Amino acid sequence: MSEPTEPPWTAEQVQGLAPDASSFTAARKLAGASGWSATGHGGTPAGLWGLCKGSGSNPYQICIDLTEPAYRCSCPSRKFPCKHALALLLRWSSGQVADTEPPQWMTEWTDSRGSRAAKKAEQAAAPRTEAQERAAQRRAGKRAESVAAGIAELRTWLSDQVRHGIAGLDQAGYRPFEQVAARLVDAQAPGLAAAVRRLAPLPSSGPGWEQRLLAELSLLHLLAGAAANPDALPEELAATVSSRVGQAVTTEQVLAGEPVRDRWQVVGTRDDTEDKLTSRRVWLRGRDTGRAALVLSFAMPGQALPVDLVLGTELDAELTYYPGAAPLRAVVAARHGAPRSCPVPGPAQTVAQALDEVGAALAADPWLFQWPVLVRGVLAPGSPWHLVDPDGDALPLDPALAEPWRLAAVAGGQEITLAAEWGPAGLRPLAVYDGTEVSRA
Amino acid sequence: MSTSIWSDLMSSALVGTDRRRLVLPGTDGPLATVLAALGGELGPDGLLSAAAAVTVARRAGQTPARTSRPEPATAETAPYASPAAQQRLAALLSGGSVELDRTTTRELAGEWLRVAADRGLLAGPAILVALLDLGSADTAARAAVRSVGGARLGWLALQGPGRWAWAVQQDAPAQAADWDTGRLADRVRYLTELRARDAAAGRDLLAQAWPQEKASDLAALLAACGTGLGPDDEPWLEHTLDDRRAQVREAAARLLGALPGSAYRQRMADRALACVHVADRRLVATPPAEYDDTMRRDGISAKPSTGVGERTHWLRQIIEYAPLDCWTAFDPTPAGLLSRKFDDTWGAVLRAGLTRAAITQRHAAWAAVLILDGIGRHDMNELRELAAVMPEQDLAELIAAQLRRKVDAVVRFLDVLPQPWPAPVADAVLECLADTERRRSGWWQLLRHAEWGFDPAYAGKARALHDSLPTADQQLLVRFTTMLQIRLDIHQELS
Repeated sequence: MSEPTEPPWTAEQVQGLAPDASSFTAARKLAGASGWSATGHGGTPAGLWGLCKGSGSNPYQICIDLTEPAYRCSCPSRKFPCKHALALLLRWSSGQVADTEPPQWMTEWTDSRGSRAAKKAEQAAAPRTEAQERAAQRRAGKRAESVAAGIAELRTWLSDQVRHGIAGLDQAGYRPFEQVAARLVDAQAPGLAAAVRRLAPLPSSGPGWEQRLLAELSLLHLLAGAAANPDALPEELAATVSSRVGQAVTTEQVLAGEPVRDRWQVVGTRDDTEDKLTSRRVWLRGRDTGRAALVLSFAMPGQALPVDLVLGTELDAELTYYPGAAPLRAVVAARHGAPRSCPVPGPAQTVAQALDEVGAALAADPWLFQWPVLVRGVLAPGSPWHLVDPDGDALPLDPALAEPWRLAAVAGGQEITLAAEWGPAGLRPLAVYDGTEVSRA
Repeated sequence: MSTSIWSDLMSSALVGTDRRRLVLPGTDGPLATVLAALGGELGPDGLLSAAAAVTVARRAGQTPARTSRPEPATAETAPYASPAAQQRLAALLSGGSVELDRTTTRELAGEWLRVAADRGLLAGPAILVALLDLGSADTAARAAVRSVGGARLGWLALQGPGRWAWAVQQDAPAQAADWDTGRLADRVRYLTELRARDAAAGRDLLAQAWPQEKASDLAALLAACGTGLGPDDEPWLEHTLDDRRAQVREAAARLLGALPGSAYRQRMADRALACVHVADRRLVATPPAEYDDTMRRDGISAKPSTGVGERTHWLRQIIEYAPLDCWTAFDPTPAGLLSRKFDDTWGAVLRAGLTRAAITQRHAAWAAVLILDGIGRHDMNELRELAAVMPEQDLAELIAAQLRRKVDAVVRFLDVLPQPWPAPVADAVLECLADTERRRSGWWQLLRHAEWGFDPAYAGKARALHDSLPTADQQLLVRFTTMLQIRLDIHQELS
């Protein structure tokens, strides 16, 4: 049986699982509608199930495994999780689903999932052949040449910008940047291409754009210089540079790293769409180690992003970090038990502690532009807004973001724990923990 | 230190190192080693390296800002609505869906707010911004939003953008300072409260201020003296009728008209009866031919608005301000009087005057008769005002009886009922709906009104009616029963 002490997820947490805003809106409607039957919560692993009347004659069958979490619904929707699954979660969160024994169709699904997982693990364990290994090395050699050429061109381009002056770049639009980025994609340096694309909006970002642009150009220059001469770098920094250039790291390489077991708290999730590619950032902080981590996933149009890490929960798990001087990106290597609700995250930092941590990370990886922090303090509206900690130290919020009035309403001027992405322009709020609940930004 | 280096780097980078060469001055501090290694004169690469060093140093060396903390919101004293109710409100505020259009969901949200406000329940903090935006767009929702928003809403509005200012709490009771320095509305409020406590003190206060006041302010302040009105006020008000300002005279006259047994009421009754007589069982009116000083003194205005004849204007006022009881001189009951034939020329003016009289004098018996007389003829505002004069139960029975007789005539008029509709009306509507033989025009409109007017406790009865109808007719009741069920859910979630 599931542990009876575990409270249901909040509506906020369920919202974090929705593939888009309209799914969640539809789910909220559906959760309040009549037409639900045979709903229940319980079983091993802990699950939720129910029948929901749809447009057809048979009701849709919804199964949810809360431990991963995983979903199945017999509806034809291609959204994942679909509105029926979200609505069932919402009903659970508002206390409308009772604890019972699972019906047969639920246990059948749980069992079939268990055997599939076992098969997958078997396949993954098979080693590569020698021929595969050699082919891989040849490809790597060719790629290195191509990347080196791309880096050389980038360095020349950066030099040229400063030689001729950056003052006119606000008149040039995105084109000069796009051309360089496209060339870097051809040169198989997608990380550098993305970095150049991030420069493109800066000249039109309002007063002070020259300052921001020069700062980013200079960091790119630093990166290109380091990438041109990787053998001169310590191993970890070389790994950081290589990943920022865009060299892929295989899952095996990542999983070969030292696992870090902790109660990993999901303190924020954020989706971005760039060039039709949707990415989901899941920010984690370890309760015992105090370490930060980022689980990054991507989906092409029509694909679903993984929804197994839920804001406001914590998971006893082993993470392995991608190699680098300031390890941040990680994968979940092994889970130990179901995620639990985590209304009070920790350890919370003061502003000074958060800045120390960010400073140390920047010292190791100067190109960092995002880092998750978990700071205790009061949200102070203003221009810019600030988070003020009990010592009176404050961190500005990124003034380019919409004013977080909803979070301010939840906080009510009281001390809260703010989960946020640190960035050079300021904090970007991810979630507010008010001691009983988590509210996403 | 890094600031001055940065601005040197910046000015060279802006125009280009080709045009502005940069020689870094010798520096000390944490960046000294890095910068010294770049050499004296900086080319493009050197400039970028120096800029990178300064950028990373600034980011990694960020120091905390200092700023003040806002006052925290005070704790709520009322309880929050249940989680299911909170989710319901969030869903309703997030817009339309397949089943319900946006307007309907917004009205359902309005119902949620009213019910929660009635029951003293609060909406959760996470929804307050949505409620502030709702209230900013829809002034009618503001009172309920203020109530369910609790202390947190007022706190948020105080911090927030100016468009939320309406939600800032102003619950301080009327202060004596309001009288001396406040806006007119504050002064009226203060005087009203004082009159309720001590009518004589209010009278004295107004008398002191009298010489300095503008005519329009005096009219408003006089109207406030309707609170606590008594025989002691008559001498003062009679005296006020001699004021040279029309607005002031008229305001005093209205008060005297509302004062039982006043000499003014007798004068107006005499004046009205002098204008009307019975000839061949018809009521015939003769308006005054001339406007005289006694009319002026008794607050009858001389000049009509454009498009109205002078004598019409005078007659209408005389009928309106004359005490309604004076008409027993012609007929013992209002119904009896109205059943008579009216004079062709002045009959309409007579009716209009009597309608206004029933409204301003809050005369229930007259209002009931005038409603029956006027259904389908009066404008809605007038009907609403007449209905407001009647006791709820009497009004409900009157409308229920009309519904049984003729649906389409009365359907428009259902708006005047308080919501939820009293039981006699709801029962009459269900009877109409059940009677498929006699389905009349106005039926569909009746349903549209009923989905909002019905007490949601009728959801079960509506469902039973739906089930009892032939299949072809059931379709017509689907929306009605669905809406009642949703409203019932809202009410139950808020209990």
